[in-house]
Amino acid sequence: MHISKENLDDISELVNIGMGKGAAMLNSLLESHITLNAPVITLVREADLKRALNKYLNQELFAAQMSFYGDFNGDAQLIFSHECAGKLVHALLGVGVETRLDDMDSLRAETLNEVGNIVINSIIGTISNELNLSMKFSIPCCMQGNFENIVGGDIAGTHEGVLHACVHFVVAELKIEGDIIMFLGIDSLRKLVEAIERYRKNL
Amino acid sequence: MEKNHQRFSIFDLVPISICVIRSDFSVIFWNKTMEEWTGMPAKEMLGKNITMTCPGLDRPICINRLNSLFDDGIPVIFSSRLHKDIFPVKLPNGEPRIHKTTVSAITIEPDKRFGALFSVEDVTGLSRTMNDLLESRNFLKEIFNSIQDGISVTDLNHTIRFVNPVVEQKYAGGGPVTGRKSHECYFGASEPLKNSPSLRCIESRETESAILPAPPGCDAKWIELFAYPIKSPESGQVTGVIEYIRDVTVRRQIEEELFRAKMAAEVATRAKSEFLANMSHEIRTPLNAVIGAAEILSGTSMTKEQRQIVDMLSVNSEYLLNIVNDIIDISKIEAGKIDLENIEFNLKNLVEKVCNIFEVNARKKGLTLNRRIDPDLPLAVKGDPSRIRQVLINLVSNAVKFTTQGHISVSCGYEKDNKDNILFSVSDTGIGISGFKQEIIFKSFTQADTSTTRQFGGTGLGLAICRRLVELMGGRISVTSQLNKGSTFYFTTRFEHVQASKTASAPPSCKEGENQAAPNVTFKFTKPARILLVEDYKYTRLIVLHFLMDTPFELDMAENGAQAVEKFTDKKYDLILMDLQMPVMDGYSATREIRKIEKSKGLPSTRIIALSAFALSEDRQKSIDAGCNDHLNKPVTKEALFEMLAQYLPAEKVISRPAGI
Repeated sequence: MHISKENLDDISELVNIGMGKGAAMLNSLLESHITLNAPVITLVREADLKRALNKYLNQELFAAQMSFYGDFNGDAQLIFSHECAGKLVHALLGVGVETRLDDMDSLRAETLNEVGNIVINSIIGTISNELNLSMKFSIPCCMQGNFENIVGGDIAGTHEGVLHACVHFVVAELKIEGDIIMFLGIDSLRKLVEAIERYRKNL
Repeated sequence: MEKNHQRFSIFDLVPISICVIRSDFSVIFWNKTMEEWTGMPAKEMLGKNITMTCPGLDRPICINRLNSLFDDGIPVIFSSRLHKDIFPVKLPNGEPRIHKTTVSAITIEPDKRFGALFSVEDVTGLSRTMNDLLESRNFLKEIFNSIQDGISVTDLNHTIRFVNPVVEQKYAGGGPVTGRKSHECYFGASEPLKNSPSLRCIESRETESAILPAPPGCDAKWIELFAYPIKSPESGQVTGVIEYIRDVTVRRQIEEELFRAKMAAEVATRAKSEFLANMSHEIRTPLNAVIGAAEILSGTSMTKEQRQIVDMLSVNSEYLLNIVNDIIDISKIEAGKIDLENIEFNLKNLVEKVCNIFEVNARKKGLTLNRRIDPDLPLAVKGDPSRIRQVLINLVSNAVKFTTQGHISVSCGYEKDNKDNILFSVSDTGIGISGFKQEIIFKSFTQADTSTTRQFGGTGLGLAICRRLVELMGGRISVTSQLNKGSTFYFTTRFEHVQASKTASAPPSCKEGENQAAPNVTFKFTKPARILLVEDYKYTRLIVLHFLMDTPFELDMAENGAQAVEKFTDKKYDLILMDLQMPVMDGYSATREIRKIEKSKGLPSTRIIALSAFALSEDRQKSIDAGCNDHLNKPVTKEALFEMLAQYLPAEKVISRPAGI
């Protein structure tokens, strides 16, 4: 299935609005200045996801995941490399850099879980609100493992396409990179496109 | 007052704190667990604004997140660890707890906006377990980090999974090593080292170790590598290897130094023994002169007082000689310089003669000396008679020395269980030796009690020499003893038996070292003869001259081998007494020279008797090889000299009881 450039631009727009809301929440939660942006959004086929995310192959990853269902169904993930996850936790919580990453698994899981919750909530919430869609959400969970465990886990193989956005967190002059991916089935994708087109007409 | 919402009452049954609020933050449900944890009863909470009673919830972030939940229905999680005070997480009794709060959206009719359902889980236990785990992990890590040896954990493919800091700093050039192959990382090898402990321990499932050259580029030169197999607790399969790397460079250096020191000490011991042997030899020469001079003096007429002094002189000088002889023997044995003879001799005679030597002394002390010689023993055996005699003399003289009353028994017969061996025993009724001292008396420089040295004298070398000699002859020496009751010394030796017919022609067995010769036989020489004495030491020449004064012999003298050869070409001698160690030309060379002259001129062979302070068989053999007919040990006593001369020159045996003994 194909999404036109205009539609993708609109989705990018919505995602960036959501990002802004998420950043504001993180700012007030953590009392530090964070900017968030996702400059480009692409639609990739699930089979091509590995190529798109090849920077994450052969290393340990952390991800926050939420499922949503209603007018359209899917799963969203915010993925960080082990290293970026550590940096993010350091930046957000001010935990000493000398603390070995291994010692912080529980703290990191909790932090990423909440950051993921806020960021994904903001994006999906913005999309569903702006597009006037009715959706329900699962409670977020945090996952740890390699690319196959996380991206190729029990959610893989059933989707028509994956919306992919590279997210940049800028915290206290540190640039920390993560990726948001949204798995959508063919019906959901079609509904999303229809909703976008409806939305543009109403603008 | 509002009533608890009926539809939520089922939540009163769950052990999770649950409350429900409307989008205006008013509480519409407050379950039993929530009452318990917060100490606030539902009836007080219902209808109240939750942000008023739950500090922290009124913060903008929380309000924002809850508002987005009211609008979008997207669930929110709060972590008490991040938010710290999102909920009062102190129980009414003050006990601190860790809670995890999840907020889900819930539709509340007739509201348009969502309501929020808070569920608060108590994760204190989980959190404590996590903390305990973390603590024990940190503790283990501390231990790993503090160990100064390297620890490296690998899987079955030798890929390093874990190392302690020592490994990275000391053995891997400071670089990260996890994920690399252990052989590649430490030794730069593409394959695991053949026969390495790690390979072996996977195979054997046991701990293996080896000392290996250290990896190139690290300070250590040698490492000791232990490899422990990691076994799966379920299947028992080996799943990996723990390599334990210890720097043994210093240890090896010390070992090498110790080894060098040991070698040096052994060399020094040999040098010491040789030095002692040589020095003792040097002492013996003048001592022989003293003994000889005393002997000569005692043959002259003296006042009673003078005779006492001369007796003192000869007893003490002979005592000194015995000590020196012991030192020579032990030194030679320790320097590995002793050879055994293997000649025929009469064993019964030998035992008899030894007993004869001590008979007089024993009688003087009021002791009886019994001898018991098995009549079945062969007359002639083959072995080293002088060594057997030396051991027997030592044991019997000890028995006499340490016994003040009773008797001494010397016996000789076949060993009970082994007819190839002959068992000698010497028992006494003397002071005895206590149990633990029996162990040490056969060691060099040991007397059972050093205090006995003063009472009984001796260097303490006698038994050590006996043991070494007996062992050299393939036998064993042992002792049984009871303190103050007496001792019995046993020793065994193995001899070759010789046919009885040969016995008659067996050479007399007591030529050497017989300074305590049987006192009742002298010789009278009947015919004149010309004797050449070759001796560099003036006093020995003088003594021999004195000994032969009353004989019909004509004595000529030479001071070294060269002079002797010169004299031999001028005159004809009936017998030559040849010292072996001399300046200019030694006795061996002189003898060989004389034999050469005889041969070239077709002369009859002259008797040559070697005189030597070397009491050992190799010296005897050396002199025989050089062409000597016989060998006489220094110090030369009158009896020994006469007995020797009587073998080669016409003489009459005179049996008499000499005075003075």
